[in-house]
Amino acid sequence: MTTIPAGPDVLTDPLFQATGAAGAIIRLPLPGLLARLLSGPDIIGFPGVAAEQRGHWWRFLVRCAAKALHERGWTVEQAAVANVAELEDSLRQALYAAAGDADGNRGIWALYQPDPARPGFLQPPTPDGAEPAATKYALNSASVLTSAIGSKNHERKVDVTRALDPEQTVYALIELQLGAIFGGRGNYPSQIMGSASGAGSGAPFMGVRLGTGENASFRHDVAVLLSQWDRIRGDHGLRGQRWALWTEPWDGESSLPSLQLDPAFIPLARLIRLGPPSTEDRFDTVWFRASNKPRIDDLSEGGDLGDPFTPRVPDAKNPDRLKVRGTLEGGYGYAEIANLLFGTDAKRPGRPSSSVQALRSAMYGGDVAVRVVFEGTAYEQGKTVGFYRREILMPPSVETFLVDPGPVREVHGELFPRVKDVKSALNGAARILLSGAPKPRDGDVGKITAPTERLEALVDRRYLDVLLDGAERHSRDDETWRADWARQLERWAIESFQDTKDTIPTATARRYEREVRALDWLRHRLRRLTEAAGGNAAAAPDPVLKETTV
Amino acid sequence: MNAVPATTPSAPPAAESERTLATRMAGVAAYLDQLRRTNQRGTLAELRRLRPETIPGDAFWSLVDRYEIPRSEEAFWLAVLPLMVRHPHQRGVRPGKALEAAGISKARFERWLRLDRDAARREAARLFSKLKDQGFDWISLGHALRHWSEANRYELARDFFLARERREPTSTDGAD
Repeated sequence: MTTIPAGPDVLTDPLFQATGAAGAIIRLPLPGLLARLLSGPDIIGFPGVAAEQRGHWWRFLVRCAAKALHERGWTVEQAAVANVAELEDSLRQALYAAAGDADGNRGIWALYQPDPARPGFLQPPTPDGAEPAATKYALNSASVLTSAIGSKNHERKVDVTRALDPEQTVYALIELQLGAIFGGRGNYPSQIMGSASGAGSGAPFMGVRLGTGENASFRHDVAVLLSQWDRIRGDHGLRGQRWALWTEPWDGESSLPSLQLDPAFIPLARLIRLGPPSTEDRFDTVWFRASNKPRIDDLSEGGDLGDPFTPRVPDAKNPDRLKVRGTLEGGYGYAEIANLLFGTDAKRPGRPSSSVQALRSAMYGGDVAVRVVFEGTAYEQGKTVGFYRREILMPPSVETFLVDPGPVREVHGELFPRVKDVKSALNGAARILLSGAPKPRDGDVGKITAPTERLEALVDRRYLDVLLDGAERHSRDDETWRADWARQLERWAIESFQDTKDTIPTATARRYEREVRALDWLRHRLRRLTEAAGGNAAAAPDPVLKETTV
Repeated sequence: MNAVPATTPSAPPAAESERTLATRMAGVAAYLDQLRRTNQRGTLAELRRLRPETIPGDAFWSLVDRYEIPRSEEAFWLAVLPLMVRHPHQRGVRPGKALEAAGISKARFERWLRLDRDAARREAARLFSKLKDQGFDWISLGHALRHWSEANRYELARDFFLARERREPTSTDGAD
């Protein structure tokens, strides 16, 4: 019987597709990709990476680059002017060394590692060095390499038999080891997440996107992680040297204290080993062994381990401590975004990720488009709700307000409750259409949501712009933003009602009467709200009331 | 020889065509007033007897000629002229409000609004008969009966029900 050799090797084989500025797709090994991102021509995308894998992949790339540069004692600026080929070699050597395989002979970065006593890429050695089949490992298909929890909407991903090519296998391994949540006994979660399971679990991603390519953002993020190195050691307590967790034996019975982690450590969730590739070089089997403990004992108790892409909020149980804010069922709506950027929620003020917090220096003197990206998979107990991604173009004033969010918080404190008031008015109008009176009745909620949902969508599209514009005006004592917002909401509310009224069930015999009464009631309520905000009513004069001129 | 493209008169824009309808309505209303003042009962009676399903007489064609009523509007004018003879034009008197003031029931008014255009024109005479000889703004009603769009009907409904609202206000108990 022939033994399949270790491989392919992530550090030497050109596994990874990247799209160049001209649109051509090239293939590079990991160090080549890192070198090109740091100092080469712009890369504008990773065509092989699935949407839900992108955040994990980016986090992995940044951690690898930061670790390699730190090992070399280089700054990002120095790397940026280096020769790409020389930089690639240097990064390769640094990564081999960082993973404890300075001469590159142990196959630590090999996707398939036939020797069970040795680690493969993101695959710890088996605890006793025996073949997985001979120990407590269970054979699975490669479809287990995902962060999704199986439920009826996700069976396509977790239940089907998958045969992954080496590139897809790397992305899937990274997704699992960096993003898996607690999946029941023996299936412990990865690190960098606020909760192990249920709402708020999972590893969120809040990063910057500078310009149109990936390079500027990558240099920014690596520089941020390097600049935070000592702070992560001090404040977050990651004072150790354990970087490539997969390279070390682990019996699944004990946890490593987070104190022993390197600031740029590569997270690890599960004890897995890939089966040998097929004759077409595809991976379709994975050995998995349940553990009795998580790999890391998170002493921060909230996943706050210095990751540059995790937004945080005060822990509800202990407000003095911050925990990672996972992606919630509502995704990244305007209220969540405002809170994560500027801490607008008085009860649980958010803190932006350090990648975003450091936008100031990135924007200094530059005129590139700056976007903030929010990504993450939302989970509920025992199921995956869905993947959310939102990218928002930031106005220039965001720089000022990230440093001093006070004016934004004050303005939000007035803008946000008005939305609630207007939604209440819309609900009243919808109820008049439904039953003739604005008073809530049992069971009517599901029938009247369309107008408020439309309003929410309109608000969501513009809120951040309005918020920052209001904060700017507030800062220079121009308080007209209140009335402007009230008028804007009034217009949107009327528009929302008109656009959605046909979706609300009503008595056919009284449809016109109810529509008239509902709209009149809505206008009346909105006018009062606008006047309370110091503005004149915004509604255009109704054509019915115009005098005929003939 | 340079070919000169043949030019065809383009259709007037919507606003212009609406203005034309309004202008015609006003002109016809003024003409009918004149007939009333000069006691030309025969012509008025002939116009009052017009029905869409019968062939109109001289009085109608005289109006068509005088106000350049296009062929596409003839059916509309056949339907509204009898009403215009009975109810003079009174600027600013909203038809919906007038109907409400005349005591038309909500249910009857709603039923009329739900009719299609031809049926609404047919039933208008019966509905407005409750107003006796009272006048109202024909520009407003003419526009509605010509197009009978959802917006037209909503405008009529708004006049009617808001007038009623003043007598029977909706509870202001507010929402959630």
